[in-house]
Amino acid sequence: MTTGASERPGYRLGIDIGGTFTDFNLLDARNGEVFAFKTPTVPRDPSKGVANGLRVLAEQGVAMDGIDYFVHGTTIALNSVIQRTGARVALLVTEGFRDILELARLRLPVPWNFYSQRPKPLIPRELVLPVRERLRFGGVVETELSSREVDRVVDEIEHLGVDGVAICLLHAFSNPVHEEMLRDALLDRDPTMFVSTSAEVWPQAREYERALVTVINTYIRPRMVGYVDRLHGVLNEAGVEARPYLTRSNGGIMTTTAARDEAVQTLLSGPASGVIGAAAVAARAGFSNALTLDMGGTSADVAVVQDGGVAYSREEHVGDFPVIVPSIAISSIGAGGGSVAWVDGAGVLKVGPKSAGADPGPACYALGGTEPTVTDAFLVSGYLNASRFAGKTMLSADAAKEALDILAGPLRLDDRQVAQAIIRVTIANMFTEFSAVLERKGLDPRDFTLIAFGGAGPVIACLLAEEIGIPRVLVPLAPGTLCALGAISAQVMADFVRSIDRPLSRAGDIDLKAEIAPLRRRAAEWLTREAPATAVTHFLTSADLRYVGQSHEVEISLDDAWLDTGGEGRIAEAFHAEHDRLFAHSEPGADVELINLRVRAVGELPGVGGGELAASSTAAPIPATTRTIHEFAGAVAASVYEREALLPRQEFDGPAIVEQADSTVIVPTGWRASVDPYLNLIVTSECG
Amino acid sequence: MTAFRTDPVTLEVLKSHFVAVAEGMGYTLERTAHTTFIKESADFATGLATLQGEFFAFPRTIGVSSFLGIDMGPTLGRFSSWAPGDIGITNDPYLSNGLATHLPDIHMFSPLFHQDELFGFAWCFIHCSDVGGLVPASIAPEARDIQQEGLRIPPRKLYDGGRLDESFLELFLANSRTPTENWGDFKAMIAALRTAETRFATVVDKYGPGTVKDAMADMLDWSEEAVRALVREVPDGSYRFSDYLDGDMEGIPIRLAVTLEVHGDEATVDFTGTDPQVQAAFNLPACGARHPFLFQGLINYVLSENPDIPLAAGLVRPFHVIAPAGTVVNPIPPAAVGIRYATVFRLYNAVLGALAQAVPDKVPAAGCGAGSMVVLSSPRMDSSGRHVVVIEPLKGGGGASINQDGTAGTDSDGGFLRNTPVESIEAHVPVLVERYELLPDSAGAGRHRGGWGTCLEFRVELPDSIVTARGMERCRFEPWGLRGGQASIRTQAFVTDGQSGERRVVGRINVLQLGPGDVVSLWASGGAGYGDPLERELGLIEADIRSELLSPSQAETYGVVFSEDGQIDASATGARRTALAGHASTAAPLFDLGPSRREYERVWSDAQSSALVEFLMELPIGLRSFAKREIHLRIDSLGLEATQETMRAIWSDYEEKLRGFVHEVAPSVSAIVA
Repeated sequence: MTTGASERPGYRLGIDIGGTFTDFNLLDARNGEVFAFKTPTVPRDPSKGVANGLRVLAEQGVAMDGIDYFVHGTTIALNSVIQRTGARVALLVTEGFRDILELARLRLPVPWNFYSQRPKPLIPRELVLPVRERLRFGGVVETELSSREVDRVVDEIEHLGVDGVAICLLHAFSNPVHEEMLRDALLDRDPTMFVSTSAEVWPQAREYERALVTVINTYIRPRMVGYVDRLHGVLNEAGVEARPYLTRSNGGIMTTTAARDEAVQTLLSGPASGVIGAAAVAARAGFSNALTLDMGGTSADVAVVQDGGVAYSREEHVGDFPVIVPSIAISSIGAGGGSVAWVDGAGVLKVGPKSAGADPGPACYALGGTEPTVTDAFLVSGYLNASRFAGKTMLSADAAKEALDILAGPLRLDDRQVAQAIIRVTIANMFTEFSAVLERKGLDPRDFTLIAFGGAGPVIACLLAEEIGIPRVLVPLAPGTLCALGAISAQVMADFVRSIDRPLSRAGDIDLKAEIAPLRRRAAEWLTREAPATAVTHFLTSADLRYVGQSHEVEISLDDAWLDTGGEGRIAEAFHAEHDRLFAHSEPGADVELINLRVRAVGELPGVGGGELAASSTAAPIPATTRTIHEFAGAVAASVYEREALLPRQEFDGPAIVEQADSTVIVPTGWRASVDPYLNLIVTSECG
Repeated sequence: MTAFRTDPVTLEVLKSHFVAVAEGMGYTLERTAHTTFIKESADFATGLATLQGEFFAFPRTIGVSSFLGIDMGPTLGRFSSWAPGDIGITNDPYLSNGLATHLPDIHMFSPLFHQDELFGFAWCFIHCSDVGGLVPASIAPEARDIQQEGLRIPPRKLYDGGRLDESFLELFLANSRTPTENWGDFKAMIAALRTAETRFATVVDKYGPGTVKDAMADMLDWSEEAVRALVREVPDGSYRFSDYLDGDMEGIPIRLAVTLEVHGDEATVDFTGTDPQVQAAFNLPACGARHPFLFQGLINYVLSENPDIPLAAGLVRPFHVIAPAGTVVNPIPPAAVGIRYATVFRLYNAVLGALAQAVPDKVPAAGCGAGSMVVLSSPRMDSSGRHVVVIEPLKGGGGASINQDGTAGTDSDGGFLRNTPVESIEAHVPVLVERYELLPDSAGAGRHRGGWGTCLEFRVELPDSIVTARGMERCRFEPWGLRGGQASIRTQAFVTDGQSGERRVVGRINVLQLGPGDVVSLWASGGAGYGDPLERELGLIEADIRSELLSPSQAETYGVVFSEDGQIDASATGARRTALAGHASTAAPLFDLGPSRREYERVWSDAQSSALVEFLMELPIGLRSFAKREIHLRIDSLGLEATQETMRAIWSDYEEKLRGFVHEVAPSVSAIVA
């Protein structure tokens, strides 16, 4: 975007399609102003919800041809895996390995339970066809793939009548020759057939995980294509000319065209854009270390931002399936607002894992739910305003009390005590899971700011922070639509991998430059197709390394200078240092293996104009009213503030409540809130 | 409802905090551990114990769960006092009364103080790379006594008031083949204990000493009461069952006999009649204690019936154990114990076989009943040493249960095991894996069939290669089916010669010497079936046939009739099933023990094996293995009836000779023989 573009609006539109609502976030790139709102999701055809929202924008006078970027997150891919509504596809594997999907990595989800089972494979065994061929480590051909064998397989596929074919052969990440022969022959026979090869989808060693992402990519494709086509129709009709982008699991974006062939990359796009949104807010507010807390009706998820960078994972889970395409690392810490409280056989109060979800939802929604939930406890404790709750017209305090009454007898407590008890147990449960996330990474909570979003995140954030020892909470201006904000803060981004699996020690053994060149080439081609001309492009190179004998790798950023012959020493040094940082020890004398090389292509979109948004004020904010809330120590009168009325630099003490359209912020006794120049609420513990 | 000291809300809150401390230890240990074994196979555990040595907090998400319920009390009892900064250490099964169960498991524990008050202990263990002994990694099936298995560390202090005992450490590390790795892992354990000490003190600060102490005691009562409630639902009675390990190094089956006495809300597991300890590494040093390794089946049963039971040692309190000294489940030192987990796997079957008689709806049929580590040792090309690498942990299928088929390729007795990707094996080990998939026709038939077994075949690439499969079992007797469900098949092993292409059966693998081109085939049995195969839904049978894991000929077990187009003919099948069901005049027996065991028990019935054990237990420990083998061989080769008179007659030949020998050498011992 040029500086002279101020005549044109230059909108960026971010959309997040959730289970209940479709969130819109329209950013005016000239001045940084954001317009956020929600429309109901249309589960049968999510593109209809998008059409409805575009109509709202048009009514507000937003020119559709003024939208330069259109980015959105989708759960199409995720839902078709979880609900098993994907296509009928076949899988081709190396002979002798037909049960690659069924055997998986063996381990049972709950190892000691008689009835625990691994998830049923997405493809039944009769659609898994063994192919007579074999490559060795390094891609050397051990058994040729004969043309007769190719013909046999193609005939059989034709006979089976499938919607797509996934191919994953042993060691194909080193040498795709046999996968390509099969793919070409299948396409020769039927050019309309969709074929994914593991070498194209994600060429990384580990046959089960690679086969799985290849299968998922094939399995979800027809639904993705159908959706993208309908979306294009909606945009054409509305007059939106911008190229539509989708968010992806790595926190970046890609065009809908790319998403047709790489649907697996969108599996975790929704939660990832929330984290990107939170990281963007944290960065602008000046916090480089943040923990993000996204708590909605059914789950509470956390992610880590360290030194300004979002923590990635090379293996996330969808249901019980491991997914090895790079994703933002998001951990569930359990309960959402809909989690149900109950009393076990010994009389002890428990919360979850059962959830009332969005339908029927908590008892206070008065939609037929009768079991007591965390949201009911919030309402009875005075945290929520019954007449003003995100997306609901009115909450029923009576229904909430009635539900809590179920537990009052067994616990010998009154309604309010039951509500406090549920909140205490919820926080203790979240504490256990959250601590585990921190311990695994060796992080000290005192170094972090908690970024709270989602409908319930800001309600519970300070209480949770207090328990964990996080000194500060940040609540963004629009915590309910942060995923949509994340969508427009994201960069065009794709990852490319090449498995090496050789010792690093023998200098000159691996020509790193030659190994990386094809990755860079693919990355550059991808960016040319995907990124707008205005994007600033760059490439990040990294390597996964480990000590011989380990099976967990550590990722190291590679400096170009290290790729020359003799640079292995520098790479090893960086690895020892990072290993020491992560695990508190390193072994500089030990042998190191280079497992994977990675290239990330990034197309950075031009920055957004505007600075501090609102006039500041040093006057004490005036509460709209006061309300009694219940804390663990007892009932207190809390000042109630309107979020819209708060101005930068204004400060106030807890106990206080801040009400806004999409959430409620609880500032407990002992915490002090202030408003930053970007209208974020910064809530700090007074106990230090 | 249980009468707790703490209120039911505070208890749940403190439970979360306790578990957070225990899991925090686990993550610290995993993150900072040096060796692969700990990071990859997660063979470690952490926990918090009371002053009496009962675990009141145990992680759910990290480490192994089978140590829950082990009593630290006797180990703690060996120390006269504790001060802040102390850390205790042991690996000795006999001197820790079964806290440790083989020497590679190093246990450490430290006192949890708040100000000057001692609250309990933090504990952790790791399976360490090597503690000396006969072979690298310290585990050898052929070990004849524990001294051959490595260095024993009696319970002692590693740190005294924060001061490391360096001379002890030096001694220990000098006796290990992997001193650097061991010390690295020790440091991770120390870090985990120190984390627990600090974090536990924070919890006491926050909730107060009285409340914390009450909650610790309540955690135990809570888990105990939850289990009592489940035991109460099991009908009172005495339930007897036995099962076998393939054999000691002499090849004679090792019988594990269990009598489960259920009375009200308590149960006693009585191992009287179990075979004497063996001169091989299969002995389980439970030391006569209420050791959870003895009844892992009962623990998994209660955790399956009520998944919300808090993981605390109270859950073993309703159980009692009778394990006669000198048996394989309570060996007398210096019995070797390295592969005691093979025995734990079979005890799982034996205990569940007893329980199945009480609650047949709630117990699965037997699964493959083993988990073997397939290891290749081959010469290094770049130095004089040898590579020793685990190729895969091999498990077969799980047993079927009332509502579902068994799991393919693994079971709830070792559901924590993970396999290794073939692409990763081939990058690091000189082998070519030719087949790693499910084994057709390997599952026991039933209304629900067993889980499919597993087949692993690999070609050895280098000369002078050695393959071992420690813990390989079920090569002799089939896993048993329940309530009309059929037994499955035995585990098998073959070697195909690289030169001649000839295939030979090798039975249970001890040590295979192999050369380039030789192919090793391991076929791990499937699980057994549950319920009458004639009642299996036709749709499920069709699906199994479509998947090509069930052959049409094998499908006839289910009474199906195929029409000419190869499809199942539903009406003909119905008629055939009715006819077959009519044939069976009486209801199916509870167990299908399988053809091999039925054949074996024609000579060695329950009564006869018990008679032999009774007789053997009269002999000195050192003679029992020998006597057992001689009596078995004589009875089997001469086709005699296995009565106690015959046994005594056979033994009397030896007794004469031995008596003289004993008199000459050590007269004082003759009293024992007499």
